[in-house]
Amino acid sequence: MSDTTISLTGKVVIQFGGTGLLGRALVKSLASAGAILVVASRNRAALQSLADTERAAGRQVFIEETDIGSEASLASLRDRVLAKHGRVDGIVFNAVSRPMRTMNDDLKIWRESMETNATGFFATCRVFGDAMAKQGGGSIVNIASIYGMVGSNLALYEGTTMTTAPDYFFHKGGMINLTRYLASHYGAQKVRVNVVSPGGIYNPRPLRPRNSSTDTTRSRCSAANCRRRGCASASACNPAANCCWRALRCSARYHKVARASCRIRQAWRPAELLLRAKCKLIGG
Amino acid sequence: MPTNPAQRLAQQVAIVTGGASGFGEEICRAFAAEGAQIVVADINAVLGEKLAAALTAAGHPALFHRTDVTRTADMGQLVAATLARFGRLDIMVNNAGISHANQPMLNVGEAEFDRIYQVNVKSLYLSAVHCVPVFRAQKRGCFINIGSTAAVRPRPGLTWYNGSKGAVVLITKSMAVELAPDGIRANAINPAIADTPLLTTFMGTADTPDNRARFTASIPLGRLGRATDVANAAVFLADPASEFITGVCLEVDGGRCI
Repeated sequence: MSDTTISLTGKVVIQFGGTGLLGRALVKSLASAGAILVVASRNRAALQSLADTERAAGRQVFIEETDIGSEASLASLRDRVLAKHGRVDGIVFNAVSRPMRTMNDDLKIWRESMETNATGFFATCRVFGDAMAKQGGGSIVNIASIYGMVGSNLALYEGTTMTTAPDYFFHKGGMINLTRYLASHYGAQKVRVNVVSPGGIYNPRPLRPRNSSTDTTRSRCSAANCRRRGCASASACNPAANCCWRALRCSARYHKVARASCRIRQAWRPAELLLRAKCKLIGG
Repeated sequence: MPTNPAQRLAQQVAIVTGGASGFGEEICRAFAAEGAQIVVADINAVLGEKLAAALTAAGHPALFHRTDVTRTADMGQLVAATLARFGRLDIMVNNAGISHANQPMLNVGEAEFDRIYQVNVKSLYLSAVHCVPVFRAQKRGCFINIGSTAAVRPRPGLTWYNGSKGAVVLITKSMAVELAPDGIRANAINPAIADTPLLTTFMGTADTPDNRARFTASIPLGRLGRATDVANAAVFLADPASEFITGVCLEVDGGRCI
């Protein structure tokens, strides 16, 4: 008989990147499922705010200031967590840096992106993959994007000043295939490695306009209801978060890219266009 | 039995074809445990009646309906019987499937080829014919089709079976895009070779520890699949919390397809 309840009670889980729209939903979902949750981020103030918010909601999260661009910082985090909690059962890699804005940005900005999104990602998986392999098992859940699987549809952005940055397509695609590599590498040591690829996620907060053109578009958006983007705010309709914490305990090792994709059909394009102007997109 | 809203499939009505044994049986049990009302559809009335009775005895509303998934009349009556008993249909699990024995492709006769495509592929067509109108009227519904890792990483000796499962995967994705505007989701599960009644058919040899080891060696997590693995994935896809997941063909394979 299958399990009838889903629980992460007693599982020590470290989440990287927890203060953004999706990150906060993941925190809520993991903590609600009973995980002993450690949230790691560079931003101490945002971490403290997150911990306060969670505490007010009756959930406990531990916070650890960490720079994933530094292997020493990651090793230190590992040692602190092992000292305090005795083990690590899983990590959720949701950290992302988005310094690049356009195709024409300086290569210096591309390199900056890779330092976090490629090198930092790999270092995190290695430090904690090795730790979990050593203790006899664990689970890595990476948060990628449908933009690691498909190119952008430029027609969606016609008439706006919006752009899609190329680095994102590169490192999210890399994350998906590195997940396969890591799943093979750590499989024999019972460390499962999976990736969840959300589509764009609706942000109910007002957009901070970058310029007047975007603002004009935004003013037309209120009539365009969501044909149904992903939702990060409510656990009841939170596919990414649900996938995520379920993947931590599902028996499938490669939780095949759960494509919570919002299919862009020809007829939907006007709505998509408006939504993209209104929504701050997370993960695509 | 009073429904418990904490259950993941509370108040959902599900049909599971091939539901009397193997993956199907475990899907029925898992769905029932999560609060679903179950219609066990199978050509094997003895096993099907037994399972429905066991579920009912355990307090889970369940019904057996003898069904040949290759016959449109049977599928129509299955859906009608479901609506008559439970008043609705939320989840259609197209699990019934067969294979030829593992053997050189040219040894498989035409009649057996046809039978495989009728059970594995035509059944999806008939399932759509009879379920989509119901789902459309409700503006919601969920198909879960059981594909196979054979569709993604085929093994030699199972060519025609592999092709039928390739069709299952593509049909699932195509159903997902075409039916999305109606609020209907379609997903597939691709199990690895598992400890079910079809095991020796897939292996093409006797079920011995040595032969099992040969197949286990190709699965990174180091064991064959279990019916519970597939059942857990089916619960996940059927769960209303997965309302934004469609067109996914989820490998439940211990890493076989990496």
